[in-house]
Formats: sequence, C-alpha cells, structure tokens
Amino acid sequence: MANIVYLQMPVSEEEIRALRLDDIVYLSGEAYSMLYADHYSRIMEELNTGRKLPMRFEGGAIYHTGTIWRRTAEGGYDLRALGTTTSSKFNAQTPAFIERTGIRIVMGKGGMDRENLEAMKRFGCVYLALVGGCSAIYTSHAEIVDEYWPELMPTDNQRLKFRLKEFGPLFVAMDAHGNSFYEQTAGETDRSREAIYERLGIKTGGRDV
Amino acid sequence: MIQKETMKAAVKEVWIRSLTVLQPDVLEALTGALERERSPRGREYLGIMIENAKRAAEGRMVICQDTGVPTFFVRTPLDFPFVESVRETFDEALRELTCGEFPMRPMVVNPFTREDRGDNTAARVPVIHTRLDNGIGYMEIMAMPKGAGSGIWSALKMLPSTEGIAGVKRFVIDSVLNAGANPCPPIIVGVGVGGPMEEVALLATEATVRPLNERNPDAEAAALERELMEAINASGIGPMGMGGDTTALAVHVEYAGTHRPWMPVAVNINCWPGRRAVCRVYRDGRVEQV
Repeated sequence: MANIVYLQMPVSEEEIRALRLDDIVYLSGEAYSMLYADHYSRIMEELNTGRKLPMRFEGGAIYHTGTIWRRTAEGGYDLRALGTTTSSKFNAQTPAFIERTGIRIVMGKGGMDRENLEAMKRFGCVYLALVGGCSAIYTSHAEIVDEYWPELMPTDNQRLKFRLKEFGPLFVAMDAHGNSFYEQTAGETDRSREAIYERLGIKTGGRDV
Repeated sequence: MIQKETMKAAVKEVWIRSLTVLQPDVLEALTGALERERSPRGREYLGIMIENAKRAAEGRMVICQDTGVPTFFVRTPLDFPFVESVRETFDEALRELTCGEFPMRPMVVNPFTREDRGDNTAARVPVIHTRLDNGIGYMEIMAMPKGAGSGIWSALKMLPSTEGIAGVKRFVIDSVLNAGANPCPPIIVGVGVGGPMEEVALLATEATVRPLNERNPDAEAAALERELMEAINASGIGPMGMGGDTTALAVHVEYAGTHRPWMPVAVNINCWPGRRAVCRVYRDGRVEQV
C-alpha cells in the first residue's frame, strides 16, 4: 500500500532516503522550473564562474514544466496552467546538476535514465512523477513568485520560481536507493517484444532491429 | 458571404474547446480502461486523468499546459461562400487568442532561428490541412492541437513492398515501444498505410482524430487495428509508462492506394487526451460547435 507523505522544502537527505517507490508525495515550499537545455547551461556557467545563483537549490526541487502565465499590471503573476513536460530531454545535464546544486527532488514525467538513477542514489535525490496532461489538477496548488533571466527568452520566459502548497499527487517513481519504475517497465517491455513479434508474425532475422 | 469575423470567432471557439473539453468518446475509453486495468497504480493514474478532464471543462481550463502546434483540418465544398484570406483569418484568430482573451504560451518558432512572433503564428502556422468535399453543405473545421511530448515520436518509412504487412506491423510496434513512457500513455496510435509520402503522413494524423469508438469500415484495416491494439496493450508500458494493461486507448488505421513497389507506413502518436474539437460553419453564417 502506498504511503502518503507531506514534505516541506527545504528537505533533508533523511527525508528523501525514507521515501520508497510508490509513495505519494504532496510537496510544499519553493521549486524552480526547468524547460530548456540553455537554462541548465546558464546555471552551470554561473556555478563554474563562482557567481552566486539567484535560486536556492539546496534541499529543493526542480520541476520539468511548461507554464502558461502572464505578468499582471500590479507586478504579480497570473498563472493559468502548470503541468509537466518530458524529463528524458534532460537526461544528459541532470546528474551533474544534482551533484553541483544539492537539489533533492526532480519532478517530471516519463522518467530518467540509469545515470540519473545512480546520481540520485549517490547524492540522495528522488524523482517524483506527475500525471502528464493534467495541468488542471495541479495548477491550483502553485503560484509563481519570481522569474529569472527573462532576457534569454523575452516572449516566453520559463525560468520561474514557484511556491507550492501541498502540490500533488506526486508519485515516487525513482527512489534514492536505485529503484525505478521506468526500468522495471522497460525490462518488461523488452521481454514482451519478442512475444509481440511472434504473435504478429514478424520475423526478426534478416533485418536490423 | 460569410464574414471574416464570423469565421474567426468559430476558429477561436473550436480551438479553445479542443484545449479544454475532452471528447465523450475519449472519456468513455478512459472509463472502460479503468474498469479493465489490473495495475492499482495504472487505475489511479486513469482516475486522475478523468478527474483532470472534469476540472478543465468546468473551469474552462486547459487540459494540458502544452497547447501545441495549432493544427486544423478543414473539410469544405468548393462553392463555400467565404472569400476572405484563409491564412489571415486563422492567423488573426490564433494571435488574438494568444495575446488577448485566452492565454496560451507562444510555442511556435522559426525552425532555423528558433525565434517566435510571440503569438503562435509562423510560416504556414496555424497548419491548415484541407479536404475538398462537394457532398456537404457546410465547412467543417477540426482543431487538433499537437503537443511536443507525443508529436516527437511520430515516424514514417517508405518500406519496399517486399516487407509486406509484417513490415508495417513491426514499424508500428517498434515506434510505440521506442516511445515508451514518454508520450503520455495511454496513447492513441494513428497508422497510415499506402499512398505516396505526404498522403501516408496525413492519413496517420487523421487516424489519431477519428472517434475512439469507431473502427475502420474496411474489414482488413479493422482486423489490423484490433491486432495491433491487443499487441501494444501486451507491452506492459501502461498509464504514464509505470506499468499496466492500458498502453493504447485506440489504434486507428487509414489507408490509401500505393505504388506496386511500395509499402509506405506512418505512425502518429497522440497523448491520452486525444485533443480535438469540431465546428461547422453553414452557408448562412450559422456556426455549430459539434
């Protein structure tokens, strides 16, 4: 049976290591969006040159999300939709990001690869999955509190800081102990591939897979 | 003559409906899948999807924040009384929606410069596909937002005829297994077979927007749909790729005649909401959102 866990950021390594696959998390506190590769490179560039980042990642979360929002006349933010985007886009950058920033939570959909799973195990980080295509459910549990580096994409800045309030449901899909639902499913899919070919009369000899 | 403002209002409304209202056949497919799914986690995910659709429709909120590449299928008789620029009408509709009453993110960019106009228009976008049909007394406009996460898994191959139907099946299965957890399963799989290249791509796309409770009337195409559907749902990918019996909500096959040496196949994968909406504009200017 899945445990339901309410977490307040910044979170400790112990809180993260206590999470197990299938636990359901409702998350509160500050989180940062991640949508484009150049956002990662900008952050890494700042870190490499020793500048102080405007974000506080230690014990915090990054969130693979596209967001529909506007600035209001009063200087605030009108958030209309906050959903989740495909995490595998960020496979290459994230292990180093976890190591350098001390984030403890990555939120997204579709999962991440083995290198990320290993980085999460080593540094004490989890992957929390949202249900894709469900921004109507998640949006009311978040607000935008700040934006960063709008000059990088003036028409559609997606470098945002959110304040989350019992944001969820979020599913522990990769834990800090080297377990991943996506690996389990991919293993099953690989095993079923030959059976599917056979059932459909597909001959696998003579052509490269 | 139909006024430009009438047409623009129709385009805007059908576009918003496609983003906010789940079609009844999709809801029915999700509900059916929820009854059959054996994975508790899979059932939970399907339940959340259904709940999300309800909230989106009630609050006129978007189902998903990725409002996609604006794509429309227009079916019209040749003598339809609209003489304004179709391009301008659709461009203005999307521009006014993006910048005005209904916030969408400006997602569409120039492929070379990656720059955008800030309004979801670009060269040939909104995409407008047209089918001529003199047998109807109205213009039918279908809105079909194409999201990034599912759209990126679309694939096409001009197979040689020697590959036969087994080659088609393999291409479909490999495309779906390759996409895995990424395109927000349970997916809707549109398969095009035959034709020259541009037609097979269009057929695969049209296949994704056929109502999920309709089979291809052709017996062989329908049998292929059933066979592929059962095979894909035996893959174990499940809702959001976290395991389960429900990997596809539907597999739809559309086909066209082809050249003797060819066996073209295209796969267009759509995410679970299968977003689409249809309106009809009649000759007297009446608009029906269907």
